[in-house]
Amino acid sequence: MIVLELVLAGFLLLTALLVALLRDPIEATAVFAAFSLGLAVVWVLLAAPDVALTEAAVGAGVMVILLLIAVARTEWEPSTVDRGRLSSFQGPNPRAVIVIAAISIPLVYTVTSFPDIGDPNAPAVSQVDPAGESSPYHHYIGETAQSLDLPNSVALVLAVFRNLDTLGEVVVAFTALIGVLIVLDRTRITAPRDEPAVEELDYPDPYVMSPVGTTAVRLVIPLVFVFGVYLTLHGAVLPGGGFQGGVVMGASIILMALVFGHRPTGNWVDERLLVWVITIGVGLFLSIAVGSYLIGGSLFDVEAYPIDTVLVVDVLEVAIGLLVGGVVTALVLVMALGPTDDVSESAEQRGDRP
Amino acid sequence: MSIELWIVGLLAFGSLFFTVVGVVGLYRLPDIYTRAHAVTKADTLGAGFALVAVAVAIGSTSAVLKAALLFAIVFVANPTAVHLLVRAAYSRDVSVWTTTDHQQGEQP
Repeated sequence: MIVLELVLAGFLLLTALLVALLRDPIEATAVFAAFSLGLAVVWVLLAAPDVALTEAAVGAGVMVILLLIAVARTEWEPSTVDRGRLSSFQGPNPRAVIVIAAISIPLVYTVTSFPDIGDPNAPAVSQVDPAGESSPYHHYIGETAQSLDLPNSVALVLAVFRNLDTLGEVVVAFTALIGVLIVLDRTRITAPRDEPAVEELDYPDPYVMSPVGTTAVRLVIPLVFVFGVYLTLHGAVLPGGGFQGGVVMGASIILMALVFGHRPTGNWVDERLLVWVITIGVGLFLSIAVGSYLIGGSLFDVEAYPIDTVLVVDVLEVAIGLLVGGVVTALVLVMALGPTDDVSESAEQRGDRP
Repeated sequence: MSIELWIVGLLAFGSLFFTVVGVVGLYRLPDIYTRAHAVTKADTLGAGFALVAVAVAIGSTSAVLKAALLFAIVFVANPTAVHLLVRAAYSRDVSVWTTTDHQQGEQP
């Protein structure tokens, strides 16, 4: 196990350095995907499957696609000179090395003074807070947590101990998407429903239409999407939950956009539908939060409801799943489609390309 | 040593062999088409043997089912992804390595 951890640590260090030092954005993005997958394995080793799922789906999946879209939509000099390995490698700026060393050496020094994983004498487990008898361990994982009767302690932290934090995350994701829609001026969002949000193609599709790809994706997408639903609905009792399930559901739509082309996919799940999904997610989340106050509990009190707490948390997870799935899908689709009036312009640009 | 351990060892060795072959192919072959050929076959078989080894080593029904499912996904996803990569390269006119390239001493 130690050997595996050391190999993984070396791999992560190497890939992280390469991401910073490669000048070709596509090479750097590919290495970033490898870094993210390595990190996901580390999370599994640290017994955090929730985080591993998110890391694999967001880091290696959605982030890489967003970065590739950014590369495709901006101008850069492709490295045509030498098609050899890591051709765009460039040594670091010495001043940057000094600054990074000044930051990272104290950080690494601090890490060495941390208690071991699972150390029963670690302050988080053994020390009692000044107000009473509850250590953080007892509060979040131990007796206090178990008295709340939610099997997955991650869902417990998400929905009970740090629910305002989760509310903040939900609102941030919602606001981020609205911001992207405003910046890209996707004003067709207010257009009537029977009018397609995306114009028909008037130029050759840049996508590689491949019968092999479409067949494989047709086979895989239902499984992936159902797995996302499963993760969302089991968040209260098993590793997973709305964030993971939402990303997996969104990733299945993104997969479709990658293989069938983003314009046909954007016509099918257009952003008006996605904004509806996201708004329902946020609304559901907020009504659970405010509803407990209206029926006599405190704000965001999942125990105030007369039904099983697990069910209330399930509804919260579904709300988060709708929101995250919608935001992830919409971010990728909208950024791939670009500003509303971009279609004719991009047709000209693409016509010039070989 | 039990027969099971031998089987697991043999499968793990097979996995390692095909993965190493894939890496050598990726490093030594001249262009994207030949590299894709090396990587797809080696990766699918490498991961496949590793998953069969895991299934035999753990042996419980759920482990076997999960390994079988992963095997199916790798078996579909891996060649498809590389196929799309190669198809994209071909449609963007990435040149194919030929023996004349080799004779002229050009790097492809």
